[in-house]
Amino acid sequence: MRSLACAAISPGLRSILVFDTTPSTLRLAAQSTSQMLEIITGHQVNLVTLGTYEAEDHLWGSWGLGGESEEHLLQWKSGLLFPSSKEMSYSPYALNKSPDWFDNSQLRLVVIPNLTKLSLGVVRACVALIGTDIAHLERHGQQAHWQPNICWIAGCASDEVGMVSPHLLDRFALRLSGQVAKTTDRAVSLLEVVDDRRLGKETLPKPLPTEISDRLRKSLQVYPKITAKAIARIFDYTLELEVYSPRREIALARLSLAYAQLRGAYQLSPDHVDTAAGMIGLKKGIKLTEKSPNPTLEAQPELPKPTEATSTLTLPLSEQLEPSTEEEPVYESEEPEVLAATALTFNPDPVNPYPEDEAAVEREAASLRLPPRRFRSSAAARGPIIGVEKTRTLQDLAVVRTLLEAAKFQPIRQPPTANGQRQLVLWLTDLHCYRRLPVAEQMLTLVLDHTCLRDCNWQEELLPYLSWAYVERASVCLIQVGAADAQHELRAAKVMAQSILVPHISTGMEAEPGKATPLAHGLDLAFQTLRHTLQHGRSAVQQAVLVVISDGRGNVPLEASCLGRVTSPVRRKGVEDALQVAKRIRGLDGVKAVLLNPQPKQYADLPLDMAKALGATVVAISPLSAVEEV
Amino acid sequence: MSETSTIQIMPYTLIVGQQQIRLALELAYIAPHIGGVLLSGQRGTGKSTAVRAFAQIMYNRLPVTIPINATEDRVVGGWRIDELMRSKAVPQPGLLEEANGSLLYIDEVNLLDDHIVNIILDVTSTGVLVIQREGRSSEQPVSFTLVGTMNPEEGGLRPQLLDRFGLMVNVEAEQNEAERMSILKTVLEFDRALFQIKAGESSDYIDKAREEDQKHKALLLKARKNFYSVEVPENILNQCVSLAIEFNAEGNRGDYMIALASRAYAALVGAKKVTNDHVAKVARLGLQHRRPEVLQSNQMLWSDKDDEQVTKILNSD
Repeated sequence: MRSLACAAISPGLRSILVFDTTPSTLRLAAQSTSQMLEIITGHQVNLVTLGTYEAEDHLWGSWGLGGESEEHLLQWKSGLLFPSSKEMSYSPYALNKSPDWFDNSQLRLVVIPNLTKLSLGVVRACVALIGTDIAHLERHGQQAHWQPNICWIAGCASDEVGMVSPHLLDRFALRLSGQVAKTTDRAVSLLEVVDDRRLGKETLPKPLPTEISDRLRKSLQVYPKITAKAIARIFDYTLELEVYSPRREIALARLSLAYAQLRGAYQLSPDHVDTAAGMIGLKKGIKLTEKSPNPTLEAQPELPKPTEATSTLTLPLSEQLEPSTEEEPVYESEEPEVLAATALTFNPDPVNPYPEDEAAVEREAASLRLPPRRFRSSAAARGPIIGVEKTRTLQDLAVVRTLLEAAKFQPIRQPPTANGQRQLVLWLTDLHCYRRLPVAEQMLTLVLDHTCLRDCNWQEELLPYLSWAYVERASVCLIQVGAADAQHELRAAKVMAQSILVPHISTGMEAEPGKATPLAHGLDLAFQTLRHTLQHGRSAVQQAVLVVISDGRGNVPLEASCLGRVTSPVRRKGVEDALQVAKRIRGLDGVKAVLLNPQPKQYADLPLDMAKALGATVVAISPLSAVEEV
Repeated sequence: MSETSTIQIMPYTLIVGQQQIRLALELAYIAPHIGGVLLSGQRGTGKSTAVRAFAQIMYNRLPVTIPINATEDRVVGGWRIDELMRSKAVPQPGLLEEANGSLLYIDEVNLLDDHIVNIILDVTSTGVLVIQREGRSSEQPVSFTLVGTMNPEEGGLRPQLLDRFGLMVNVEAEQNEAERMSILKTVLEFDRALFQIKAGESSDYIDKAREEDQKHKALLLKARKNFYSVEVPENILNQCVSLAIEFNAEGNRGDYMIALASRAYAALVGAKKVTNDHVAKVARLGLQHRRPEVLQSNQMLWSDKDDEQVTKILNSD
């Protein structure tokens, strides 16, 4: 909660990323932040929620029908992220808007419930707006630049952080861990949830206590003096970070300063830095731990008792110039009230604030770029709409955008008639069609038995199929059988990707072999995926290539994989189940199956039986020893 | 666009470190024929701040900027819609025209729509802005210094666009502890100054920095004025050609860019004649993005060995 107050105080911290939070907690955090921002800025804060579908025109603005007078057919409709004007009455066509034109006192609080699910337009807007001094708009005849006055609060699961571009993540200055402390009685919470009288009644945050409001207001009157000791302490935390980004140091410094302001301190002390680092979960570097194992410095955000706080705060300031930091404990007793009043509890022991440094890359390369176009003239109206573009044909026409384009030119294209009746005149240059995300029309399904790859040169034989997937821009489904890092060793794992370039696929292929070989489950996953992709709804996939690399020696029956435990003697059940599922795959239309045979020395017929059941062509993989001899 | 009073950008002379960014921007100002500067590198290293601060001191305004949300009509030019609605056709100049004679800044240049990139390429390669759209038909010469910033983690640039940037800086975060401390102190001081300004007070810190900015501006204006009076000996030109050949620089502009940049560098340091030292200072800026291996990787690889090779080539005669 203190961290949100700090974000309200310091504009440089108004980009908050909350890990592992629930939508309701995030909402509550946003509402509390909004209340505090209103106190700090003295103006109303508008809440905006961004999600999965907003396109660039929604965000930046576009021309829309419905001007204020008949003369004005069109009106510029400001986007969600475009600031409002200072003047209440302004020309809807005004151009060249300078910063003075905007009402900069209007602050927006943008809530992003799930950072991993954002539309491309929103992600690009975030990159352009978060943490920048100046924002620019150059769209559809509008020109503006302004100083963004937006506070961002986003949620993201820490184990999904690899799906988000680090370029975007780096812009979130304040990192919090949103796991709610499980101190409440679960039964009581359940009772509240099942009580349908509460349904539809949104939990509104209680107003902030007046003491807190006063403290926030007072924080604006003081700017703490920055001491060399405090700066050195900041570096104790950041010098040992795995990845160095100047923004991280600056964020910790600003958080410490804002915390000192909140406490009414006249100078920034190392203790403030310690508390700030504790709020976001930064651990001290090795250097500090070795040289000063002072237990008082280890005190983390757990609120100290007033007596403890007094001693902690007065001790380290040997060259203290402003003894007024003695006043700080006055606020100590107020903090629990903040927590209680808002029912908002962030994890008191936050995790690593920068999980992206260690997370596996799960996004596509260059994920912020607009998608490439496969065909010059795309006939298929498939794929989510991500915008509009000019066209010369009538296919997939964006009717509204086309009419709006034509509307601009009507007064020039046709003279007014005597009765004032005019018909819209369309020119070829007005035509706009939708711009859509490309949709894969082919799929590569790769069943990879990691337990049989040791002695064969499988990569070389697989390469033509990977190349095919790249050339055809096919989507990829990788089924990992018997990988050492599988979540459950009796089950196969499936990794889906829009293209072969997604790093997760190559990482998955390089997994080490485990002990079990749940081949039947792997083939069953492949079967279900193929059936869904080829037969479900309006799927665009027309053809699938199934590549199986296996020696056929499955040792986990399908039932055991489903149950998650082996219940009876296995014997040949694992192999038989695999063959049975393979026969079902053979029955699917539009699947071209290939089995890459690793040519095992024992049970050499098993892969051939598998190929027969699949109806697959067999390609022999040369053993590594043969390759080395050559 | 006289918004200097309302939006506070960190003064140029306050920027700590990043000597290569500053040098490249200054050289491109002294010798406009360099055409452009690409700043590629790590996040949060002050690339955009440096460009904006530089434009503030040299042009007294923020740079003309093509944001990633730009549409074609704003880049090339279109009609003023307010006038169209009154049945009058009044052309609205695009950003390329607006930037004529100054600096055109593209933030996140690698995220720009391909279509917009093609337009910019057409204009920079011919020096002529041709408008044939929406009933407009015009042609006019334009020239500007193209400055782009990008994070290579999000994809590289097409070779054609890369070639339009005369100089390129591979921006790295300052690793030196003292430098990092200096950056942090500067940012906090600047935050404090903004706090004071917001509270209606004046800031000596910023006022002094602006004075320094003006002194630096005078230095650059003088260097630009003296650019053509700096002598470029023939052996230096030969060295530039050798460097481009030895580093397998793609295209024909590598040697020309090194020659231009080293002459600008000589003008900047007040020398009358270009020397090997001047060439050595700028060789990396002119060469690193023209090497063939760059086309296979987004990362600009330049090592100490490359510096040694430059020295070796320059000392070969």
